[in-house]
Amino acid sequence: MQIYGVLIPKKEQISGYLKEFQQGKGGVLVYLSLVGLLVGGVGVGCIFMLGHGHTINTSSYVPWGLQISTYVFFALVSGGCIFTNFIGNMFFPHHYRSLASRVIFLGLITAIAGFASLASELGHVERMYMFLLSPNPTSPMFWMSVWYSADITILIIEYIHIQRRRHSKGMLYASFVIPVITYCSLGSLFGAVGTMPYYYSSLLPIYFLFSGFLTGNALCAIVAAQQSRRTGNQAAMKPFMRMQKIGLASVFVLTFCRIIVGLSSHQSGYEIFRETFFQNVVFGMLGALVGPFMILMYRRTSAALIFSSVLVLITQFLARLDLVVEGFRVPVFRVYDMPERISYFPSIFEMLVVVFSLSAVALIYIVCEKMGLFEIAETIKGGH
Amino acid sequence: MTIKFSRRTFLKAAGAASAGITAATTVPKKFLSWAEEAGQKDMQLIPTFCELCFWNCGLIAKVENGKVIKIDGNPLSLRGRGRLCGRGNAALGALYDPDRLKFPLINTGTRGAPVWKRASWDEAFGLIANKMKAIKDSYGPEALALIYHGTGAAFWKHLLHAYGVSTFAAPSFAQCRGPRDIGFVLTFGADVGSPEYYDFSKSKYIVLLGSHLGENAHNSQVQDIIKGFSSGAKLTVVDPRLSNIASKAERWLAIKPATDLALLLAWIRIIIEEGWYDKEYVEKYAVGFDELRAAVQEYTPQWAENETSIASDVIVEVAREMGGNSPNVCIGAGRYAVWYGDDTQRSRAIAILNALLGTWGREGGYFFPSGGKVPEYPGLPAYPTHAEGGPKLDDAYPFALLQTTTSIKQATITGQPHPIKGWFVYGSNLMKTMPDKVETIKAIEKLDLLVAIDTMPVDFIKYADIVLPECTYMERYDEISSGKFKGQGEIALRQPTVEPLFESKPSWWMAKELGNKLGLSTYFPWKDGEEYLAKRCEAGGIDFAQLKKSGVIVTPGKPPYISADNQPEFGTPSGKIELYSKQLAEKGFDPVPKYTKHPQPQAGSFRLLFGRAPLHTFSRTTNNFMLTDLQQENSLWINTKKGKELGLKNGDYVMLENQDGVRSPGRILVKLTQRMRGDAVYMNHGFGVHSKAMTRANGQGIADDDLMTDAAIDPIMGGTAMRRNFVKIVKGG
Amino acid sequence: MPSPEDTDILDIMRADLQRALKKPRQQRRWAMAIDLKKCIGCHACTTACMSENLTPPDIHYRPVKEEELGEYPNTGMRFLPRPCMQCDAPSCTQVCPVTATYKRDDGIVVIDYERCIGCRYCLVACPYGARSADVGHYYTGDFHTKTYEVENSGEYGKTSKRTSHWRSPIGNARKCHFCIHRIEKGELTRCSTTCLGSATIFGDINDPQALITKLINKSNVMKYKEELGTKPMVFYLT
Ligand SMILES: Nc1nc2c(c(=O)[nH]1)N[C@H]1C(S)=C(S)[C@@H](COP(=O)(O)OP(=O)(O)OC[C@H]3O[C@@H](n4cnc5c(=O)[nH]c(N)nc54)[C@H](O)[C@@H]3O)O[C@H]1N2
Ligand SMILES: Nc1nc2c(c(=O)[nH]1)N[C@H]1C(S)=C(S)[C@@H](COP(=O)(O)OP(=O)(O)OC[C@H]3O[C@@H](n4cnc5c(=O)[nH]c(N)nc54)[C@H](O)[C@@H]3O)O[C@H]1N2
Ligand code: SF4
Ligand code: SF4
Ligand code: SF4
Ligand code: SF4
Ligand code: SF4
Ligand SMILES: [Mo]
Repeated sequence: MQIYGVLIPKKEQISGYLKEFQQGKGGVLVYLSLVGLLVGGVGVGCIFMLGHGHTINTSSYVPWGLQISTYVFFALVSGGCIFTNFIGNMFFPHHYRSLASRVIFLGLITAIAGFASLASELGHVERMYMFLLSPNPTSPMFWMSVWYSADITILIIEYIHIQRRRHSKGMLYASFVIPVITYCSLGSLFGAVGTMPYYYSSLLPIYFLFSGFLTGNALCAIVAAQQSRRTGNQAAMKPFMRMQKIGLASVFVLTFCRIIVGLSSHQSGYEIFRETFFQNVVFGMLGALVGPFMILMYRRTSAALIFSSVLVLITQFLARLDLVVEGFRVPVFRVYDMPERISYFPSIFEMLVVVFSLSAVALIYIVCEKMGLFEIAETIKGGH
Repeated sequence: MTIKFSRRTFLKAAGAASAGITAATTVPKKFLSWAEEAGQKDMQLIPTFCELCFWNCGLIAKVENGKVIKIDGNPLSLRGRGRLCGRGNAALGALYDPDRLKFPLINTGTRGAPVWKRASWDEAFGLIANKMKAIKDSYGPEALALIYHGTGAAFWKHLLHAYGVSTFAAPSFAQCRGPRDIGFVLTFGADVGSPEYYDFSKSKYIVLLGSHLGENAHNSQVQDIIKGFSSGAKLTVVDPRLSNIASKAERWLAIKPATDLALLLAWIRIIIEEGWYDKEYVEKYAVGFDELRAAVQEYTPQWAENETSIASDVIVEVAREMGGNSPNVCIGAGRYAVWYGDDTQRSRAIAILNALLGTWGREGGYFFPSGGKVPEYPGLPAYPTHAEGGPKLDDAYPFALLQTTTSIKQATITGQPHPIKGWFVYGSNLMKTMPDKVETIKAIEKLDLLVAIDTMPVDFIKYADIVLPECTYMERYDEISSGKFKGQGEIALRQPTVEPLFESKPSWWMAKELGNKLGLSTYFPWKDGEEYLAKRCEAGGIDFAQLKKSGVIVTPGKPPYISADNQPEFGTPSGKIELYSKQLAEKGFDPVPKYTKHPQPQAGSFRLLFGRAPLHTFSRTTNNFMLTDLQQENSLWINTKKGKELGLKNGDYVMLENQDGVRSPGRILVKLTQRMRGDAVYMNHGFGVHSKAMTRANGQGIADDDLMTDAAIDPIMGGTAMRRNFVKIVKGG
Repeated sequence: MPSPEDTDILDIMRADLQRALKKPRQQRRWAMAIDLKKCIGCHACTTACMSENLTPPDIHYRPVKEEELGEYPNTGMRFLPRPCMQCDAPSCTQVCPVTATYKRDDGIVVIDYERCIGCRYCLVACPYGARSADVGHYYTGDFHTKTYEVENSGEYGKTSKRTSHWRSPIGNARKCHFCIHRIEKGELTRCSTTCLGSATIFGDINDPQALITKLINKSNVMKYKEELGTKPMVFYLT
């Protein structure tokens, strides 16, 4: 199998870029994300060296924090990239073709970055092989791991196919269906937890699906906008605007439903929906969803698309953190000096995990882009 | 329990050695069945007893690799019956506290603003010995005093006694149980003991005033009262706050604070007037019934309702319930009794009520205890005798049957009736224990020598000249603890479970070494703590080897109740229960308790009440990491409605300011609760620690003792009443 | 001579325990009854459990909740001790991706400290908040190696030293396990032996003679959050 030029750039492209890099012409973003990767790497290293007790602010009361929400965020972005790939291939193949390999590549590296964040959170990541030795088919997390593995495998295959211009309809559908299952199982990982009113909802899998689509698509939209700037082909960007608006609207509806369902329940624990109502409406709905929508309504430039996409990514990142963490605000069993509401703020090390994951994604993508990995694919002919 | 009423016999009885304790020598099966943990086959089980409070429950340390890794209750212990309370289970938090006192320290700065110099034991003892000699030379040995609380104090008493000192006082008298004990001694000629001789498990009806059992975790007593409930005992609790035990009661009487005596006198009247009292019993054993009857006539239920805010029909019903269940009734005597300044009289009223109902020596009332003491070390030289007839320290308080910290403090300040120039303070955190800090510090400033023997760098330590670090109760041989119970007595041994940490040392060692420096080595003939105890046990016919193995030896006793051939003796002058007390009358006190009104809070202020937290003992556990993990600070309990009116909500922090304008140095967490009356606030005692060296406790919550500027002294026995202070809530801060 | 009602409830339970241990394990059904009428809110069980299992800061297998009922002056109190309910339909075991926590044939829900990956999903799923994550805190800071804190708690009848990587509870989920290490050696759970109110009754509910069986048949029984379908094996007597 051909590795250089398909999986990774050709040898001469690599050495060419490395020369530029040494001369300081590697691109600002590359240096920045390299620094981020190093600093973040030190943070991740500290977590493993010093142990969670000294580095991480989660506790028995807030068992999941920023690392998990970051994982969820990246996992959903990855899923979103695949939907974008599917929709692109199905509905506007002409505009989409030049973006395909970039989108799938992003899907792949965000899935891996998400996993890195997750790994730094596990108490015993070195025991992951237990998933094979003693699997538990009743656990949504087990299925999540199965589908996640399948998902990454499919992504790799699909990526290679695209890179080699060897498209198969079967793969295309598989690369749609498997992620759908994966991200629904991620949704049910949360949604099935009957004890956590903030999670517990049959809406959650669908919500995950759509917010995944929204964020993944936003990331692709940045690439698309970037590309159309470079190529001057404005039309290639248009479908992304439309998709983003659809994403925003559907997430809006689902968020609204989730809040309404939460508000209408009077069981204990559900008060969290009342307490977070203002914040959810003002920031979660108006700021994070209506805002970008308005931008796209009134400005149809690539800059506007980039801006709204970045906004979507940031706000949805925070929305993931909110979803994971707010679930724990009302303690299930409050005793002794425990406050009535549990608060959590990530530690510097947890933030460094985010820096690490983000930098990794940015660095790998930009470097590959700069080395022209995705250009090769465009020039390979035949195979269709 | 027959204690003749004189100070001399009272003291003698308290320290007397009853010979001929015959003990069972077979190891009970229970003791052998403690679980061995996996992979811990070589684990040693060493029994000893707890010192996290003064119940002294038996415990077993599980020791491995030279560390205590777990503890368990000792099933043989009568005080614990295999159980340990919330604090007792936190032994490891006391033993392994990294903040412990580690080396002898000498203060080279000033008292209150110390500059510590680490000293060798020899240096510390040398300095103490020199100062002791100087004081003795100028003022005589009476100018030295020991203030103590805890088992190891016995060795210091011995040392100082041998040196000619005669002043020994524990805060557990004048700051705690004194009025109760005196009230009962004046009435029955005997006190109610510690552990108290309550026969709760057989009671049909129990009344508690204050006494927040469950929060005050008197181990076996809590077990007994719960047992009593299972066999149908009914409970009435009189408390301005719904205490833990009040939540188990049939009736909770949310009394207006400081009015208990009104309620008690009304009950006495009803019980007499409605004829509920045990006529035969009163006739046979009591004197002064007619005087009592005449004296309580004014205390009608309606009058009591006005005073106490308890509905008169409830007062009457409870009196009838008590009467109906007599004599299987126990009206608890309380324990912390220094409330409002007329506390001996309140305790007298409780005693009288019990007497009328015939509960003394009756099933379900107060049992007659069994159990003796282990004799002193044989062949010790006699203590030096003192010139009799000199001015007595406690003359001001004619019925202070034990010496009081109150008098020591006053004599130190005024030099009257004789000067006091040196204090040894063993296991007592005087800054939190004594009310009115300003006065305490004033006294301390007059001293030539202040030695603190402690385990922790508590607030008081910074006033000491020399600090001697004692090892904890888990690391030492100590005085034998003997307990009196129903039909049984117990002898409990404290022995080291591990070597003392740091340079800390046990009291037996410190006393012996300092004794040698003072030329008193003939008083310390033993090689070490073990030999000291072994010899004493031998003298008392107790198998020491067995005691070491089982921790506790239970001795059989005598019948607990009155019967034809078990007639009570009363240690009063009349030899009877004194409903009317001639002795009191002779000294100018009310022979029958009379109600006096105490001030009540003005609008906008609250009476400051305080009590125990189930998971803490005063200030001695405030730095215990296992306990701070559950409760690190105290909170201010305020009636929910009242608190809301003041705009307070749960989780707020406030400051308090008392009637004399003294402000709490820290802030306290607000706890709005339906468990409080609206005219008082409540907090746990022990918190608000200022010592920075107590890293977990420092600055957590606030101290009731910081706000205690008004402390009336009970004129009968010198107790310092501490619930007379009023506070305003200061928001923000 | 002590009368029968003077017999310590612990001795009755110990006899029950011995009977149960004579049977094969799968025929035992361990359960706990907590008599709320007798619980006095002393929190002794909480600290007893802490010392028995050498739990680190912030981890309490058996806290006691204090709940106020009613309004002044008609106030009441309920003390609710909460061990792990050893649910018959546990949500914790259901979600564990690697079966590190599972229900044994004698009814106890255990955690395999050598299999747990520390994902904490079970913490999220337990409706009782009965699980904690051991992240490696020590009470005694730098001093900890000199104290009991690094020693073997013997939990689950295995050696688990916090200083060793593979056999350490650090990184895992932790919870009450009905003191398996004690009961299998013939000693009662530590919370029942220390209970000042004698409110904590432990035994085998497959044994009709056992005190616990008699009590849960005789008294009013409340199961905490029963509506969630977890089928708790801790019975609250009311
Ligand atoms: N956990 C724990 N247990 C302990 C201790 C400890 O520090 N911690 N200390 C031990 C010692 S030495 C002692 S002396 C005992 C003390 O324990 P107790 O003798 O029980 O103390 P009290 O002061 O009777 O109890 C405090 C209760 O009195 C109520 N109270 C306040 N004012 C009044 C009033 O005017 N009238 C009435 N009727 N009630 C009032 C308060 O609301 C509170 O509920 O506890 C012992 N047990
Ligand atoms: N404001 C206020 N004052 C009170 C009370 C109150 O409720 N409020 N309660 C009163 C009552 S009831 C009592 S009994 C007294 C109690 O008064 P104290 O006995 O003085 O009470 P603690 O604050 O526990 O202080 C005990 C001291 O002993 C030390 N210690 C602990 N173990 C050992 C040991 O093994 N050896 C030595 N040498 N020292 C040791 C501790 O570190 C601490 O300094 O306080 C009384 N004073
Ligand atoms: S009552 Fe608790 S603290 Fe007091 S001696 Fe007993 S176990 Fe120790
Ligand atoms: S109480 Fe929680 S941890 Fe225990 S078995 Fe039930 S679900 Fe699992
Ligand atoms: S933390 Fe451990 S026991 Fe809990 S779900 Fe994860 S792997 Fe299972
Ligand atoms: S059974 Fe054992 S582990 Fe469970 S709460 Fe009781 S003492 Fe703790
Ligand atoms: S030890 Fe017993 S009485 Fe005390 S809190 Fe626990 S269950 Fe209740
Ligand atoms: Mo006391």
